[in-house]
Amino acid sequence: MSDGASATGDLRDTSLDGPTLNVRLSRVWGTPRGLLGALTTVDHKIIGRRYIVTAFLFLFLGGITALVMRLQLAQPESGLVGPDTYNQLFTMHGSTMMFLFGVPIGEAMAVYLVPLMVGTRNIAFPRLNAFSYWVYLSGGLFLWISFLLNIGPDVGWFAYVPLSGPEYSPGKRADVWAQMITFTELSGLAVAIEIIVTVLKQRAPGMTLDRVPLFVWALFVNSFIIIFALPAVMIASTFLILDRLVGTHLFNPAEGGDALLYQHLFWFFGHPEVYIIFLPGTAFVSAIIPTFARREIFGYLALVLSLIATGFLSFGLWVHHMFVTGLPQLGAAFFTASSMLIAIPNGLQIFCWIATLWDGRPVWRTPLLFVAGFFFIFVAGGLSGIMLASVPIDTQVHDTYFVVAHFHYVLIGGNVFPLLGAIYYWFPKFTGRLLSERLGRWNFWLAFIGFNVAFFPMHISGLMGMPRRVYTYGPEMGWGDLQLLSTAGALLLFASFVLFVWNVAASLRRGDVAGPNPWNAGTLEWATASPPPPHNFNRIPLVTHREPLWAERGGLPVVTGLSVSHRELMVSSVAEAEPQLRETSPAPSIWPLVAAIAVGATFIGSIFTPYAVLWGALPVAAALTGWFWPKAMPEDEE
Amino acid sequence: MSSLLTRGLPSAGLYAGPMAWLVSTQANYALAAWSCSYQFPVIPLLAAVLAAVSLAGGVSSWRAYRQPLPADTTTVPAPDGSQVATLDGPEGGRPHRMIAAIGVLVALLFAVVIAVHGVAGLVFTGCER
Repeated sequence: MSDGASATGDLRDTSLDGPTLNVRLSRVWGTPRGLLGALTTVDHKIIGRRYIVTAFLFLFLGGITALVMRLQLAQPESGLVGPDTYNQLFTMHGSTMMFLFGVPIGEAMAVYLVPLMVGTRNIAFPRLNAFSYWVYLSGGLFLWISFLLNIGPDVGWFAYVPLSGPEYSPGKRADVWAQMITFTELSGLAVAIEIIVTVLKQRAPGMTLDRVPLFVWALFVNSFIIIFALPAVMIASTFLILDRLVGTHLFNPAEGGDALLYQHLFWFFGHPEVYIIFLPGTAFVSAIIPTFARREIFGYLALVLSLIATGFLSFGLWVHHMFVTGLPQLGAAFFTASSMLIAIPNGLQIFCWIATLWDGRPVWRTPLLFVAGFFFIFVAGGLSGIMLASVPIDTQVHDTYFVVAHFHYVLIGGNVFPLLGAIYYWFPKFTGRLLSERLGRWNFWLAFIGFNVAFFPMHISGLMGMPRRVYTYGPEMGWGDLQLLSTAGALLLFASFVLFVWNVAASLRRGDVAGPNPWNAGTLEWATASPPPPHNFNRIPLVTHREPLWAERGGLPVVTGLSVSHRELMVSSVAEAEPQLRETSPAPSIWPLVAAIAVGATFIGSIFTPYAVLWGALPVAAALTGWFWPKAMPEDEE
Repeated sequence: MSSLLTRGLPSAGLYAGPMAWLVSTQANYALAAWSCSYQFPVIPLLAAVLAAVSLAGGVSSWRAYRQPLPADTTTVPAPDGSQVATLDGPEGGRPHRMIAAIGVLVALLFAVVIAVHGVAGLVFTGCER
């Protein structure tokens, strides 16, 4: 990179130093104060924080629906809620957890952390990032406001036809579900593209592919899964709306359609979805373990291999959700094979993490406790998963509480436990303060015990024949004691989350002040202040090691030459991360919000009339025209 | 092209393995009914071909691993006391060597998965419901 000022009089970071450089860059990259600033920001940290908080709000809402269901099932023939409300509750619970929490939370953490970890100043396509958040928020509000207006969907989180079709679900409930999918998947796709481009083209010099943090690898692979999986469910939900609103018969066998096509489309998304939820969990675990084991990760190559193999194989398992639909046994056998063999890369990961801890000097702080909880719960869920990959067992326990137990072990074990560990780990980076360790330990043990008391008995309930999604049962079934136990566990689990919120609220005000690197971790996000300044780094670090902060104890070498007069970041090559271009990064803009409002109005209108798509195209086109209107931006330079 | 064959391509296994497996999954699923109608063991035969395709990709990655491109030594930033020496050949090769190693292993894994698909074709005729 060139030194000093360019021919255009552009001031470079080579001409400034220390606080002057920091102040100057903060002014250039900062978000304006006030409401307008809040609505126009394109700072990945602000948007990432909003994503995280919003996803946690939806987690709590989904948790409350679960708690109401558990209270209803605590005893036979309970009258706490009726069947109609119960149908809405389990649909809201599943849809919220899968679409408004499960997918977005991994992306939310990525939006905040990936640019910091790869040593860049902002995410790629920052305005698209802002747009994606507004669309996600609109989709979530749309679903929950519909529920409060008693038009919440009641067809289950996978909304099978013909139940969700026009014949069996009149009214707007199924449409609300289907269009919420469009909102959230659009948002998810946008973030996935941003993450991929950020990882491939914005890594700091020296961060060759074999020095990319495993956290980043996991979310990079995850983004590819999102890009290939999410369109399938968007097509399914759009076809469903067309059947319901326009009168097509895509899923109506009586008119030449195919009901099973819906299941194929849904589960071609639905099974990768499990890995979309799990891979961010592996990202958190791979970041937490080396820090607290005090050694580099064991088997970096094997872990990257596992991520890539899991990413591919996740697309070859979907039919194991359809084993009871009358498929040829030979066809089912292929999916049994892939379902069982995906245990190889996943098992490999577990062994690498255990080996890292085995060979390290583990410090058992709260983040590592949650990782230990993840090991126990996720492995148990994986074992019941291997059982369910077998056609005869799956046929016996299909749609019973055994399956409910299995997927909660996998999803809560594979995502929520690592996530809570991740929040304890990165909270100092987000806020500048540490969470209370004492409350953290209480939080972990309450969550761990509560979870197992709630969900382990469900295996037995399922084996005793209790079907899922029943709003009540008779005392003669003999499920009452186990259901009561599950409810007690759910209350404990809920209490652990109340404690978590208390810890966050108290620590925000009175927590110990964290320095830039309170855990003595090795990756780049810990090289900057806590919380980071708007520009992330005063100068872009030069990466010389996979754990740069451990290798360069005396201070990171840096790259100079970027502008301090306007938002400029460095574009690098894909494999070797060699500097290629200096590129201008977009400034704050209101257009992403305007575009999101226009898109949202179009989506919502289109569940009432197909002409909404036509009329909605006008404001959407106007917003996009404003967004992309040519501006006087400096040209990219080599 | 000939240098590609002799020197190998680091990412070949990464492309060939999953692509072969994708074809195996889709084709086998479609051929299950055909296999029943004609009672011909098309699935094991297809699996053998596709496993070979996957392994061929792995061989190409292996060659690239053994003979890293000369350009690697100049395009990669200078040595730095990195602890990831297991993947660094004496002549250099980072980061392509890591991709080549992953290519070999992915090709092997997917060849196993495809082979297990083929075994299913030996157990079932395609007519079982």
